[in-house]
Amino acid sequence: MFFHYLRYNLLSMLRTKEVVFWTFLFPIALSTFMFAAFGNIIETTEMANPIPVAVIYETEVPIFEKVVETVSTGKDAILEVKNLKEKEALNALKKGDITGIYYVNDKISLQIKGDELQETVLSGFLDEYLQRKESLTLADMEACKEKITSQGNLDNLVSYFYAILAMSCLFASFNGLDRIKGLQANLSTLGARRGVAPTKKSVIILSEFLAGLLLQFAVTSVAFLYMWKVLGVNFGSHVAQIFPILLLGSASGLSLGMFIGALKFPRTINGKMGFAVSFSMLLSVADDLCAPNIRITIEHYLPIFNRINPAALVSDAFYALSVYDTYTRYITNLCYLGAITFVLCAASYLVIRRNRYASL
Amino acid sequence: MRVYKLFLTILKSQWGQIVTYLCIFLGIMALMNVKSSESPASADDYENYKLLLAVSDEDKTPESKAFTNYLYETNRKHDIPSFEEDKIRDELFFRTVDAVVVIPKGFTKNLKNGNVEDCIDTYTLPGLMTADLAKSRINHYLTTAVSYMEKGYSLDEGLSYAKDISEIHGEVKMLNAESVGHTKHYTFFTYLAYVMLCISFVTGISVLKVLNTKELSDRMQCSPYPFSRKALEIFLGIITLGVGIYIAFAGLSFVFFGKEMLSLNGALFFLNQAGYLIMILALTYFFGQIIQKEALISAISNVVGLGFSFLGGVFVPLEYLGSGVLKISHFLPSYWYVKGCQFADTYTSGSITQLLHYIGIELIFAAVFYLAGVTAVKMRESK
Amino acid sequence: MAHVIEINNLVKRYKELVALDHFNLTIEEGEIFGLLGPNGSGKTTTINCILSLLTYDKGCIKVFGKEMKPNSYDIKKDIGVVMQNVAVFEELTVYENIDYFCGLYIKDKNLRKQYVEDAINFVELSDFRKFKPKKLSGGLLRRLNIACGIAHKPKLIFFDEPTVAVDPQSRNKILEGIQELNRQGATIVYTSHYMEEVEQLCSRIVIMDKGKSLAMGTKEELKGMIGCTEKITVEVADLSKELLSNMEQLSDVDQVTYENNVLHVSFRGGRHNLAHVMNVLADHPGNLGKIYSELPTLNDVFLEITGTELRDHA
Repeated sequence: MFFHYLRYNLLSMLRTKEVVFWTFLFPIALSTFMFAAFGNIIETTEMANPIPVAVIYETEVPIFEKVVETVSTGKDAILEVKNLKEKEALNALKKGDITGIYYVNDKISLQIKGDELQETVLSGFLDEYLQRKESLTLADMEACKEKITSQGNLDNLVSYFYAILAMSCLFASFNGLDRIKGLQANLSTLGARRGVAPTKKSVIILSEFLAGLLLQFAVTSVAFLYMWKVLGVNFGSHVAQIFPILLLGSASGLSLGMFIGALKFPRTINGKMGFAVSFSMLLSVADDLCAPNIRITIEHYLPIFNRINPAALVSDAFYALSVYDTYTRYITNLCYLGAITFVLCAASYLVIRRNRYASL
Repeated sequence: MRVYKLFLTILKSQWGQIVTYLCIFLGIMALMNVKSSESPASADDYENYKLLLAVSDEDKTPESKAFTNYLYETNRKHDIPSFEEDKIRDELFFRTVDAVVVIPKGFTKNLKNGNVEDCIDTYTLPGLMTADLAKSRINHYLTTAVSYMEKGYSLDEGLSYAKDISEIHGEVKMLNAESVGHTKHYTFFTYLAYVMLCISFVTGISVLKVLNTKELSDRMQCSPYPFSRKALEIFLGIITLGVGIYIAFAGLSFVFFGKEMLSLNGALFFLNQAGYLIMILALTYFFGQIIQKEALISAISNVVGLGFSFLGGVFVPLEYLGSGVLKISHFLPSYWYVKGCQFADTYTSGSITQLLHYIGIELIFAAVFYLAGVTAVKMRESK
Repeated sequence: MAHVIEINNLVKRYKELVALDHFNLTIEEGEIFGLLGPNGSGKTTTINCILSLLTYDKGCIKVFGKEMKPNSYDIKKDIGVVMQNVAVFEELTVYENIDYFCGLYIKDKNLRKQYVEDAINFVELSDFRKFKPKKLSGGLLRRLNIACGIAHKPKLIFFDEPTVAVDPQSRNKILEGIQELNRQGATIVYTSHYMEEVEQLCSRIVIMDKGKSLAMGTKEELKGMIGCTEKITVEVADLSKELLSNMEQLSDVDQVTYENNVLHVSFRGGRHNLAHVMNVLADHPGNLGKIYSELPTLNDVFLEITGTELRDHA
């Protein structure tokens, strides 16, 4: 019997093609934009790859020559020396093909264009050379014992993709709102008709919830598969464990919408829709959707907010999965998501289960 | 003015969403402000990129304190809430800190015995430039100090010698000081591209959607109210919305920056903002004609708003965009707006034709979207 | 046998407005019961209270002898409701809609299949079973709305203004259908502000206004409450005063009015008074225009009780 309701709920949802199309398109389009914009930003700005430079010898300084050769060969090379004449080097620097030019005469100087990290590495190299010449220490000892040996995926830009998936989960709330609208006599005549039927509200709510969940889970899964397979975003090695996140994330978004639908305020369906949109946007922005570091800032000052923000929980579960070797944090996040879903669903059910309305 | 009044009435009911986006914008601005105050203002002189470090001194000896002081003087100090490994990992991942250094108990003792190897614990993200930079600075400093000590000096003297040595810098020349860094004004105005678009979309499209409901628009068409007049009043309504948004954000810029906006640069920013807002309104008009379902408004405004922002150089600076993406960006109005902001930000004197050129392109976009909207209306009417 | 519906002292307020004011009602099995009243008189509110969709401030409602609550599922399964507004899924076809709603009542798959077919045939929508509601005309949509409400063969059916905005042909179909359902054993509660429909259809009627029951009974009983038994109208020019006073002398005459060349004579007794009137008019030299005799309608009842015409309220 339950499947009877489920089937028709699904049918009626899937036939609003326009809405279905946009729900699917939305995360896919967004992740494509983001992917295009970021591209290999981490490779060029953060990773310790050899930095292209030119070295112009005005006088011969064999020691410097030797040092440059050492640091530009091997696996841990810092520099990538381009063989250029002074004029060519200047042009290349202007165009950004190389990052700096070392001029070697009686004193060695560096010419650069900006003051970012790569330039600092170049000037650091020069400083160190001069300092060693002064202090006569040739090689450094390894004073630092690195405690972090594996960090999974380093690329923090992947958290933008987490944020898109989280937002997509939250947008399930529009669907949840729609589901509950069809159950409430004061919001739709459909609600009135179902209100007078002898079927338990809990059964109908559950069938509506499951139908919505199936659709939203499909949406987020397709979006995820697209990011993973087509865009090639690195989600780490535990891919199978990602689906529970998407399922519970969609469930929490859906139940959020249902809860907003069941609330006494805002009264009209348009008011509720506006509220759902605003609220999901706020939660998504708090989960680093448009600017980085908001989530960690909140973690510093108001950690409880990150525990009740479904978007932050979804992102954090993704993060925990890709960075940690143990599942503790991942599972904790899933538990929070499950708890939020349960509380919101139970609250919505209690509000509408035997509802009589003051006016229709 | 019946239609106009109706427009305003429906607009008022969207108040909550306007406030939300305003809050989002203010929140991001507040955060950006915090961040930008941490990094030094870009000057003409070259300055090393200062790493963000968090140091926990568990040894608590004069030597370890001297080391801590050295680290904080040559880098930027950043407090993290906890030195548990998980928390450190989070901070590293989100790049709030570049490296975390823990000076363990027995550090001084080890150094005095000449054991430099593995004498401190570091937490960094392997393979990152910042990690290598931080570790090479520390290694160099400690090795220098201990080598000096082994020549017969005390560790204390060794540390201060290492510090003196570390202050030797090579000569660095900047090529015509083209700073990549942007002012706060620039950040403020580029983010406007996102917020103004979202506000205009969620409010304007909702209103236009109501006015275009079949029954309502049929009823209006049956009335003796001239079609041209209806169109004119809708146009007026959109202008009102635009003026409202413009004044609100121009006003907000004064709240943030005060008198600084009363400058030539400020005027150029405002001019550019006006050009982009006109484009946004035209786009709002277009989408208002073709969107029929409430649920679609927020999906579409986010796809367009975030798409423009990511590809046009709002969220990710234009310098970082790949050349392929930049080619696409040229077809987005937001790209030209950001270009305009760059111009306004760095303008000192001379001709402003370049900016007018950018604004001109924004207006061409506006015209195209407006015509598309009109075509959509015509197609609907003829159905 | 208990009453099918029993309402005692029902009071429902919408803030200041009293929508139902100590309203009482009993409906017996097998009746077609009409709730007649202008818009806003409390008909739909009454039904929604019976269905437990609305809260009410005071009173007691029993259906099938048991108190009605939102979770009285055993009662609800025998009730069918045809709402005033069309309540169907826009995205589902005619067949799917009926099947869905029937499924809320009938769990047995085969039985349901048959019931859905019966309902489709009953409202004559078999040519449209694959249609979506959007493609249906107003009358067909109403019929779909009815099918969704009655497919599970309930014992008690509420029809809340099912004929609003329906063409005469569809309206007749609907009314015949309701009579057919009643013949098959269902008790019907029917609301309308079209008194002709109520007169044609209902075995018992309550007349409502401003949340109060003004009168209740069969239509004959209701008409019996007012004095008038026949109204005769004659178009005739230049009647003399003498003739008018002769007219007033006729036996059983209640009232004689003459305005704008139209003569109205109403009688308190008998239903065949036309001959008497014509006798008096025989002395009049001029030509007569239209002549007709009417029996009193429910509108006259309403008029007499409230002082206003039923239609004026709408």
